[in-house]
This record gives sequence, structure tokens and C-alpha cells, in this order.
Amino acid sequence: MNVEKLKKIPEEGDLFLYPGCLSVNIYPGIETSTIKVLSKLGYNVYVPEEVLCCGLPLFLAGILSSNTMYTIVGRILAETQDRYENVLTVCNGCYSSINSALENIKNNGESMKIIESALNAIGFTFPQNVNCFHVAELFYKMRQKISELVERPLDDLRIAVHYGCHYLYSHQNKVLDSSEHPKFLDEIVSTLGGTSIDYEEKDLCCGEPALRSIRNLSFELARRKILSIFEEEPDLILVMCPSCLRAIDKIQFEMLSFEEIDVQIPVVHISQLIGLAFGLDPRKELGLNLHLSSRDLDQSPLRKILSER
Amino acid sequence: MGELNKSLSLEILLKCLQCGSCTGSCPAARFSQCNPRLLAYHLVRRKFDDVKNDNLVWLCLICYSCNVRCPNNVDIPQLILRLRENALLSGLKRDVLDLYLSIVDILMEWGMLTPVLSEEIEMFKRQAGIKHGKISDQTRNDLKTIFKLTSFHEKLKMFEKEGSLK
Ligand code: SF4
Ligand code: SF4
Repeated sequence: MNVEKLKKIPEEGDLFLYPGCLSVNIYPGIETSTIKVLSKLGYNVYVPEEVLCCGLPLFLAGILSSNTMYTIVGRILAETQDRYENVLTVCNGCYSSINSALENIKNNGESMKIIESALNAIGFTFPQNVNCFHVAELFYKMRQKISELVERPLDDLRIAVHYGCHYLYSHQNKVLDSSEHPKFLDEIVSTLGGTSIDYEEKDLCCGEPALRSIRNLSFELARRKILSIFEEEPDLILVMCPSCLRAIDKIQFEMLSFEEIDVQIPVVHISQLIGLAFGLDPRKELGLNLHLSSRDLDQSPLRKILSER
Repeated sequence: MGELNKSLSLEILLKCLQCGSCTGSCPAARFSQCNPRLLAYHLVRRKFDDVKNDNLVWLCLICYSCNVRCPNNVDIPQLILRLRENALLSGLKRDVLDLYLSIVDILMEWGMLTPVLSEEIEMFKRQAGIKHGKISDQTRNDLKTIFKLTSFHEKLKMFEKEGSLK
């Protein structure tokens, strides 16, 4: 366990929540559930009015340079205005780009000069004292309090957990427990009353970060992942990144249309999972019906816990 | 282009042991011709044409698995990003370039890479009181300035696409 990091995660007070692209316009239930859950845990959550993409997808394609990406991150973080010390992301991609930009402050003189002068030109400065955590890390730290707030236990739900490469491998030394054998999401699942099940391809990449021009590879990766998950017949798939969510959500729809599978297993973000356990409305508050894999909630394995109310 | 490749070669030559741990841990290698060890080999042997034309550069997921498992900490993802940039700048991979430049247009309109795609999502956001939509002109101008001052414009000129951001 990365004790140093765990210690720094705040247990109360103000948080700056940076939602990122996908959780605003594709899976907006991630944003709403995150805000609701954090508020129930007693935090004071600030969400910036405008959301800018951190630039990572374009950086990975070779279009944006790291300096451009870091400057955009600086523009995003500047909205903390010295009032917020702790920035939370709900996405492994944003987590990776923001942490890289924060490390760059310490390491690279020449690059920082370019970034600072670009930021100054639009009236901002790069905030110096900001920590960036993934919301899943905070949930792990708060698991005791979370367990006390459970109103709809996930009893009997078998859950397949996927962590995601950009969290585990892009900043290996910042992983909460271990990049090779991570356990913290699985532990949150037990806290909520569910059972985390093992599956063969637990470590396999979801395929989503592949360039959009190389569909075949993305498809093959996600397909292998899903087939391995289906073998264990879970009720739910848990992710901590909207990009992974999209890959694992979409592939099932494609495989369904090719008649390779005949049911879908809902894929949810960790904030939505905790929202479920807190008894929030699966449609209005968690937006689960906006996921391809759980459009028809009453037919999905989730009905086991939903119908009891 | 030559200069860049030379410095990449040197970096790898000094560090890569050709042990293959990277390829062994590479998820893309399981389902495609992606092969980080081979890429390093081509670079060390200065077979730049093999690198340039190679799908190796485009099949990588930038998942960082190889980087974590490499015994000598060779930064393959970083190398691949530089090779990608290089290939785009030299006019290879026109299709990839056009695709991503069209995404830049979406970014300039929304500030995000993902526009709202359905009425259903629009409605959910409205009911939930989520207001994030397209960015303001002010923020759009901020982005343009950032692009200009961090040399993205020069790159766009090389891509012959600077028009879209003027
Ligand atoms: S793991 Fe590292 S040292 Fe081994 S072949 Fe790959 S790049 Fe070279
Ligand atoms: S970063 Fe690229 S080369 Fe390295 S393991 Fe991932 S897909 Fe393979």
C-alpha cells in the first residue's frame, strides 16, 4: 500500500472535481453520480463551469506536443484559483495527463518556460500546490464511511473488476496499492456487499486507447476481454475510467449484433456503483440507462437488487 | 527527420538488451503485428525505412505495459509517440492525420472531443442540472493562443491545415 499517498487524500473539505470529456457528454451519469456520492460523504464539491478536454487523446495520436497538452492542463488547473488544493478526476486518462503535467513542473525548466508564458498570455499561471487524485482512490480511503451509508447492499452481485492501463502503468509509483496486483477496487466491492470475481484476462487492456483508425485491434482486444469475463457469468462489470467503460460497453453491443453473445452485462463506473449502493435512482441520478449494456435495466442482472425496492 | 531518428537510435542502443520483455507484456502484440522489441531492433540497426513503413508505430495502444516491465526502463511509448509525430509531419499516414484534425475541429467548438450525440443525453443533462456545453468564445480564444504559443500552429502549417484554427 502506498501509505504516503493514502495519507494525503483528504477525508473532508473542499474538492475540485474535473469531469473530463466522456463523463460529460457520453456518460453524464458518471458526473452526476460522482457529485452525489461525494456530497453524501460530506465533501464540498466544486465543478468548473466549463469543461476542457485535457488533450490526452490527441497527444497519444502524435498530434499535440506534450507542451501543448500540459498548457491545457495548466489552464484547467488554474481554475482552482488557490482555493482548491485537491483535484479529483473520474478518468484514468485525465489522471495520467494531469499527473504528468504536475511532474513536469518539477523536472523540466525549458518546457515550463514555454508553458508558463503561454498561460501568462491568457492571464493564468500554473498552480504550484495542487494534488491530483483519482476518485476511486478517495473512495478506497473512505470505505468505512461508505459502508455506513449503504442503503441498497449489492448482496449476491458477482462483479468483474477492470482497473485500466493508464491508471496502473502510466504512473506506476503513484498507484494506490500495486500495479501488478491491484486490490483496492475489489475491496470497495466487498465493502458494498458485492463479490469481486476473478477472470482470466483481468489484466488485459480494454483496447480503447488504440488509434481510432485501427479498429480491428481494438475490437479483438475488447472481444477477448469480454469473452473471458462472460465465462465467469458475472452480474456487473466495474471500471474506474469512462474510456474503458466505452470500450467494454460498445463491444458487447457489437458482439450482440453479430450474434456472438445473446445477453449484455452492465458496465458501470465506480461512482455509479457506490451510487447504486447508496440507493440513488439508477436512471435519473446515475444515468445507467444511457449505457448500451444497461439500456433495459429491468431485464439486466441489476434487477436483482433494483426490484427489492 | 533523420536527426530525430538518429537520436532515437542512440537512446535505444544504449539501453535496450533485446530481451523481449516488452513484447511479452504487450497486449497489442497478442492480436496484431505490434512488436516493441522489433521496433527497438530496427532503430538500433538504423533501418529507418522499416520503422517508417511499419505498422508497429500505429498499432501501439500507448498502454505503458512494456515500459513498466522493461528491465532497463526503455521508454517505448515515448519513442512511439515521437515516431508518430514524425510520420505525420513527413506526410505519411494522411488518413490518420485527417481523422485527428477533424477531431481538433470538434475540440475548438466544444472544448471537448465528444459532442452530445443524442436528445436522450441532452435531456438527462438538463434534468440533472449539468450545464457544461460548448465553450465560450473567450475560452476558445484561450485555446487558440495556447496552440500558437506552444508551436501547435507551426505544426498545423506543416500539416497544411492551419486554416481551421485561425
Ligand atoms: S523490454 Fe526493454 S530491454 Fe527488453 S527488448 Fe524491450 S525495450 Fe529492450
Ligand atoms: S505501450 Fe504499446 S508497445 Fe508498449 S505494451 Fe503497450 S501497446 Fe505494446
